[in-house]
Amino acid sequence: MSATSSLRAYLLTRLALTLPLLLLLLTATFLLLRVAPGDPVIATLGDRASETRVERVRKSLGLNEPLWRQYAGYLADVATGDFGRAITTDRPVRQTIADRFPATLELTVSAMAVALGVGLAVGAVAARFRDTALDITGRLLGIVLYAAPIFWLGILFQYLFSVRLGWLPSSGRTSAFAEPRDVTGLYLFDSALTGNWEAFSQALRHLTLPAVTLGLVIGGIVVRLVRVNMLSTLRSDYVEAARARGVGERAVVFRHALRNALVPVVAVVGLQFALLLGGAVLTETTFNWPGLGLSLYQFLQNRDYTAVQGIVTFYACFVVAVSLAIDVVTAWIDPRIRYS
Amino acid sequence: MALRRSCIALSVLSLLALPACGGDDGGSGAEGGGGAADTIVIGTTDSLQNSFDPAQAYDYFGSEVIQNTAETLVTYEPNATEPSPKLAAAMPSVSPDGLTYSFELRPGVEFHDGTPLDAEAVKFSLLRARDFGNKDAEAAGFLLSGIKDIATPSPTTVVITLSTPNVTFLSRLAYSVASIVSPTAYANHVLAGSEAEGPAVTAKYKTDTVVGSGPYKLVVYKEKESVDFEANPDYWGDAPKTRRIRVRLFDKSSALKIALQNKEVDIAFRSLQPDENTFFKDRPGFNLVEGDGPGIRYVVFNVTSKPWDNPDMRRALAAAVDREGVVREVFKGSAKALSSMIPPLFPSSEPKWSQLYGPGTDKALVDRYLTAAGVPAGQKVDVDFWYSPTHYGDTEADVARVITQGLEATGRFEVTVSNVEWTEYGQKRKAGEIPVFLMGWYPDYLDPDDYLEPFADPNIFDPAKWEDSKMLDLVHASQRELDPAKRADILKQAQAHMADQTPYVPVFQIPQFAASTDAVSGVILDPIQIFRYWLLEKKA
Repeated sequence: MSATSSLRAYLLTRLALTLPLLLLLLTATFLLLRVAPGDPVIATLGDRASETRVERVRKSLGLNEPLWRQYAGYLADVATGDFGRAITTDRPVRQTIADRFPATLELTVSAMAVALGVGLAVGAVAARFRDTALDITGRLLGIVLYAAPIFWLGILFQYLFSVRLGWLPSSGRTSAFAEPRDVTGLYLFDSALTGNWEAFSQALRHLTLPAVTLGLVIGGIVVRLVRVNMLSTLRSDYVEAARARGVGERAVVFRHALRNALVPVVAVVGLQFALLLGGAVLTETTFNWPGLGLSLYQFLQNRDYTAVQGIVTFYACFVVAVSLAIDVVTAWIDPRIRYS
Repeated sequence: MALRRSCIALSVLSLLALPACGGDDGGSGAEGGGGAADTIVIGTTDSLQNSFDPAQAYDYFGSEVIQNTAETLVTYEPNATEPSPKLAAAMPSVSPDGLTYSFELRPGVEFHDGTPLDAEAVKFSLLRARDFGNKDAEAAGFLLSGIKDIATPSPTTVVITLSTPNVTFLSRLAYSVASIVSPTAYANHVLAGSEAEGPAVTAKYKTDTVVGSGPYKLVVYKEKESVDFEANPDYWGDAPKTRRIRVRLFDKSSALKIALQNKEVDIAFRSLQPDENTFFKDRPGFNLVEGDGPGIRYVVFNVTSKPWDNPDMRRALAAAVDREGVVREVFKGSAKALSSMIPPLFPSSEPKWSQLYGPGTDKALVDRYLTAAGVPAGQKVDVDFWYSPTHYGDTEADVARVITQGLEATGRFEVTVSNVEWTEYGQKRKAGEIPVFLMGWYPDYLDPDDYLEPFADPNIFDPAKWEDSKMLDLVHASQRELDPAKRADILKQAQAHMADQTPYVPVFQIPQFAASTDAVSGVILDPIQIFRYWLLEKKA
């Protein structure tokens, strides 16, 4: 089998597996919200809402229909990209996602960069200097970061860098009336694109603390992963062979060992994207970051059942898509995966 | 290679440092809050409930936005408890039967869209709100349901006829529901009359903006994120003191507190927690403004449940509620103990509950009422006491704890305290499943009537399920009575009757606080709950 056809076969298999996975996720989302206690309609309309209005909204949401019919309607809507209409805001959830997801994407991608930067550096150094003080410090750091609750780390950073030192803002995406012209909704990208460097600077300053907070927590996992894979790679024959050929230790570690150690890291880090989105909810809440995670939290508080269902559904689709993309990338990088 | 990386790192660092060095505000914080002196940033944990349409908005934040962008015929000046003219040139002349209100309008007023504000616009706005209220029970329009007809004999004269006399009418006209909006901008947002209730009605609201004549224009609303305002350059009255206002919506008061501390916002209003407010009190660089609030908190009996259907049982418990203890222990003296459902900011307020049941826990009275209720001496009464832990803020558990301690200190009550989140709380209340519980009330309009009628009329609220015809008769009589002295007498009778039957036990009046940087002035907090952006000013 040629490399191209094996990749194609792998892709098709993964795609075929994605559909039941997605269906499972959507079913779980659908059912979980229906077994949650309390009446979602009264929850959102308030307890002074008239019975007539409650009944009317319940009917308009199809909640009086048999469960199977609600389920079929839900799947049909999702298939057409309709995530429903929020009860509390009376806006399409799709609009909320379009407005708020860029902020979450900017935060998560930045956090991933922080996680990879910290994880690779600390993990590689810890592995290279195994069982030394550097290694122990790196391992400890990995455990502490992984175990640290996001809100706790966030509040700590806010107190230190915002309140005590006054270096960075504690909340929001940018200063009042300093938003760049809206192109993609990604402030860093938009401000760079339009050459608005003052807006870029403000956006970067506001992004720093949330991204570092979220990135460090995920970084804890990356540290441990990189270290373990590096240790295994550093013991392999081709690394020994490189050393025997007189290749410098720095080149051995960073050019040969680290690159090969990265393959499983990329796969696992890709899977951490779901964790990252979950962490983003807490990070956005702590830093009042106006992303989709904060919206989800607020809709949950208001028990806005349609909005929560819409956003969770979107997240599920997004995570499945990212997971599929990561699988394809790793299969492309490492032929062993597509042949296994 | 290494040099290139260093250059990139330095560039990023310099970008981060740029605003900190440049100083856009002179503040010590990282961001410097509202930035320039012509911009003020207000942080709040409030959020918009449904829309900015005056006919629909029935929540605090929606009303606040409307009150800064649109205007009413009459309003309340700071700290006043009686309305005064706003779009009306003078207070109206009222017919002797109390049915007709004739207004002369202020000339030369224009809406934000440049169209003139005249008598037809007033008629359009008020009837529009009333009609929505007739079809949508959750909208604020029901407050104008008493309007029978509106005549416009000239472009500057409006004659409003009521179906029955109602002395609260002017107070209702001062509420945001009676804001006058541009007929041109709202032309497609009126009811034809043929709509059934439901989506056919709610789809007609203009939810996204306000086109009024107020001192500010609403520029941008980002859902659950921020609302931006710009001063109306053509405003007929005194120009707003600050050109731009941004209201930032926070989810948690802790984040709002840090943002103010770091001067990322200039004002934190509604709501920091009591300890967070205390943090800014007497702190260099900050001010804490306190004002009387119209909100009240009270204990409710479900009077259809045993044994609370017996008035003597209710009286016994009322005599054990330690309202002074709640104020002292939970609010460190910043709230006010409440001895009537009508707060003392109204002259007609009578401290009936203190007079009948004492200001705190009174064991002798408890024993007396329990004996009257047929409870043998020494026997304890079980109290199934409920509260909702977050809806009224983080202090709620402490309020319940102090009340419980007061009840148990008498040795006559055995209290079981339970809590459940707001949604389920409301369901349980409606279903009559919680016999004794804590509630709160913010009035719709500033009149004693709004502290009595909702608690006596099951069609409006009446969480105690107290259907008392004598009370309702007194309330309706007070609404019809045009003579202020006679009305005050009726209100006193109503309070006396309510206190005697005590389906409710008032506990405390909710104060208002706004913390700000010391660069900000013009923060006025008064019972009418209009947060007047146009008076806010920031030193350069």
